[in-house]
Amino acid sequence: MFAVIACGRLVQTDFQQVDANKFTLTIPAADKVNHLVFFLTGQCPLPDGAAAAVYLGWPQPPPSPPEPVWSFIGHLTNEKPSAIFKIARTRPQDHDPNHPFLANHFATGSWTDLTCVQVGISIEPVQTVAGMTPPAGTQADSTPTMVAFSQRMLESLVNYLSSFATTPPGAAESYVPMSAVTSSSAIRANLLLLRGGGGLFVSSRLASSAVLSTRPYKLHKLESGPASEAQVTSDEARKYYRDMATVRRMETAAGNLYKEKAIRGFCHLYSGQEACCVGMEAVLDRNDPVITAYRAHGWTYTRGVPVKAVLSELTGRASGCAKGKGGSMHMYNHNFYGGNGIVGAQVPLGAGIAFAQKYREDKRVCVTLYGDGAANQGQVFEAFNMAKLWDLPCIFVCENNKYGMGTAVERAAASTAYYTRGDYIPGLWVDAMDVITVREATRFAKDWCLSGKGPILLEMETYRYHGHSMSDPGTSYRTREEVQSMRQMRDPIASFRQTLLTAELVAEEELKEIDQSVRKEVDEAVQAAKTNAVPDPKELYTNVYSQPPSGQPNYRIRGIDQFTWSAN
Amino acid sequence: CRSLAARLGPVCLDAASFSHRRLSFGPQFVYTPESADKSLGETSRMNLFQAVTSALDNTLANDPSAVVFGEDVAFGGVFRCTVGLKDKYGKDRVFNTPLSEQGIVGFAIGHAVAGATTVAEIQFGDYIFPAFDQIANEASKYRYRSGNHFNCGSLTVRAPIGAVGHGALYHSQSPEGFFAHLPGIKVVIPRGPIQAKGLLLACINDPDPCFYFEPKILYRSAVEDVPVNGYVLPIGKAEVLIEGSDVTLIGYGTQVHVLREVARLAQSELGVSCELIDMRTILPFDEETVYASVCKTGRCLIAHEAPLTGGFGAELAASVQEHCFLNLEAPVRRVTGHDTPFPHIFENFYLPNQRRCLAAIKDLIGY
Repeated sequence: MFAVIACGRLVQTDFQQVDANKFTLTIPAADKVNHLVFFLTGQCPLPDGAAAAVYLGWPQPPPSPPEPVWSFIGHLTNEKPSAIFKIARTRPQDHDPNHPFLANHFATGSWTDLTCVQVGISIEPVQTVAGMTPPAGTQADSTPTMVAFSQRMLESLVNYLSSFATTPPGAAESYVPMSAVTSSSAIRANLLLLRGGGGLFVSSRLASSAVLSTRPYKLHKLESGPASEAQVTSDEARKYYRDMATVRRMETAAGNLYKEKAIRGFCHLYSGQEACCVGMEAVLDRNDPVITAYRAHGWTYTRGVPVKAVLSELTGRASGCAKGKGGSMHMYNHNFYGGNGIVGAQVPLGAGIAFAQKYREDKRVCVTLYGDGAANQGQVFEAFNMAKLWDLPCIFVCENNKYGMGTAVERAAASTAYYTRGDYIPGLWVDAMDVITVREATRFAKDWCLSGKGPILLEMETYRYHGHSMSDPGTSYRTREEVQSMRQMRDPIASFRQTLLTAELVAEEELKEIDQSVRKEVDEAVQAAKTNAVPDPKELYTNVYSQPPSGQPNYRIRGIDQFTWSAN
Repeated sequence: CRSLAARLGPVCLDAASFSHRRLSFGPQFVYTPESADKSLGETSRMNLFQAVTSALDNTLANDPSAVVFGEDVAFGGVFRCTVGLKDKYGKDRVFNTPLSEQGIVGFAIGHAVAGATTVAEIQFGDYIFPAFDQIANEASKYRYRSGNHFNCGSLTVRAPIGAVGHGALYHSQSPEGFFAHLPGIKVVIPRGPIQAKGLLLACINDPDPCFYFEPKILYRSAVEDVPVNGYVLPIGKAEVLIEGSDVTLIGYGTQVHVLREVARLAQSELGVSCELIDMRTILPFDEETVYASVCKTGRCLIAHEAPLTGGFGAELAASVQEHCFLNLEAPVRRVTGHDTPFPHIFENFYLPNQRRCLAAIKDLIGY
């Protein structure tokens, strides 16, 4: 009639009927068991109006009397035929001499074995059972407690690590060696879970959605911040993963094309910062304008320009998104205003675009991105002032990748708390190596702007793996170890991948398939970029003005010699 | 487009060949090294950026008030013009600024007004525009508006300019035309290492604010034996590099070397004798040398990378026709960049290359 399962073991049904309404069973090595699952086998239901009260009997060590100490942990009914109970902390302190299971020494087996626990099931009227309260800590939570679970992981990690702490001679405090972090498999397991951003969900195979937690935010002049948890469906998860993987692969391909000299000039790669554009784009729609600086290939892709058009623009082909006339720093699309070469110049433009949105009463936000180097440009502060004065729906985003070209932020800025540099504009610091964290911050920011509260400033703390541009190796102002450790410990794609696998949101095979399809797409785009036609030579002098300038139908661009003219 | 290729010769390529051949971009020239006056003493082999470093080194050594600053200058600069200076003179004299051009130049003007020798660097001439207000409204007018009470003469601002073959819109511009329009400042552009050092030292020592534009394509490709000690070359004085009788070719910076080749081709292909002038100083420009030459030859060709309309060539052409009218055999010709932004593609077609200049010479001769 009843059965019980301890995790990792065979189901036990060897209940012994010790009384008309009482059954007992012994669970060996119960000190290792945290949860027990009880269920009605369905062979015969409980009598009407009856419930099965479940008790646990813990043995007492000598010099206590040998009877087990019983406690009620819960019940089953026909309507609730199965339940899971946490038993790790049910060992009671007080011995109840009047306990029903003690009366006739019903305990079976040897209860001098301190590792065994006795299970007693007593069939009693529902009303009686309903009035009984199980001790705290026995009820398995009905909602998954990612936060509590993560906290326990962190606590155990901290405990583990602090056991390795030593005080070097002459030091004021103790330190934990890195080998403690990296060498232990237990730590690795903890790190895997932590790397998943604390996103844990113990579930059955491939959930269709999961609740993932976001990394903490820092607030400036805000009462509250974005959500600490977010629901992510498996479709969304796949899309974010795919988009980030595509940007990464596309940037790697661009770097290789540059080294082959198929791309010349300036090429600023976005690798490492993918979570920022993909996370933000997850909340924006194509009607929200975006304007950014020159590290724009990732944004160009998420704004809807296919990889082929991005790479062709880099190689100066006619199939490029700016007809090959702009190059790396000047890529555009509908509601994507580039792609800007002069540092900081795009920020006042962004304020202007936001004003246009407000003027036309479009319910849109303008996302205006700039870097940590640009944060020291005067025109940025001019834009802040105008945006706040006129309550413009502008999300200013500082993509802080810690280095302005070769200058670390501490050496360039009197205040590196970029999220506070908007002063009177509320700000949010975001760990932008996690795509869900970015997404929720963007959601918060978009709601803020659209509810008429004016502009908001997001600092996306991120990292770029490559140098500033292709002519910068990126290692003369930072160590290779720093770059390596960011790649290993905080890579946005790898950590998101881990989160998805741990949450069983997407299968490993699917992720592999996505990787392969991304590779195929980028390889084809590379081929096209290398072989597509160059623009027509007349593109050298078209689009200087509207063609032809109004009122001057025969206007010809000056300075062009007759040879160039006659070729067309 | 095949006929285009045929007429323009090996410099230009048709569209189909872009995908199959390694292209030669940027200004096409062979650098002809010059030698310094023996009286200037011991020399050392230097390229243009090393010549700049040497000039700054001399300045910092001899002038205790001198400071050098700009973006990334401390580690040596993106073009290596300031290598070793911070280590030698300390970080209070050679230091980095944040990424703020307007701030850099404004700050530099203030420092100069207070009496210190100030050498500020703008990382690319393309980025100088946020600072243009400071230059136009503060630097150039200081002495005039204060009735000579104050001046920022000890200011020198350096910036790399010009086409480099792959710079595209924002790393290739030649902004000297904008600055030529500001009375009160001086604008200087060297053509090689010996010139660079002498002219830079002259700018630093000049009692008026100077804007010194270095052709970035010459940083590595121009190598000469440059005197190690300090020396100055005259500001406001052009130089006749080749004497000739039929056409005066006027240029500055990189274009001087393209015009050298043009002069050679004109002689060998057209039998035309060209006189080549390097302006060296854009403002105030050497009128005497230019007018003397054009009055002698009767024909004038001006070439620069900057766009045509309102470019410095326009000022030269207007002045030449005014002063040499009766001696002119043909209208003054300008071969310049197109009136478009500096392009990402087809840079060869845009630049005033040898073939375009040669075609203009043909027109001048055949007028």
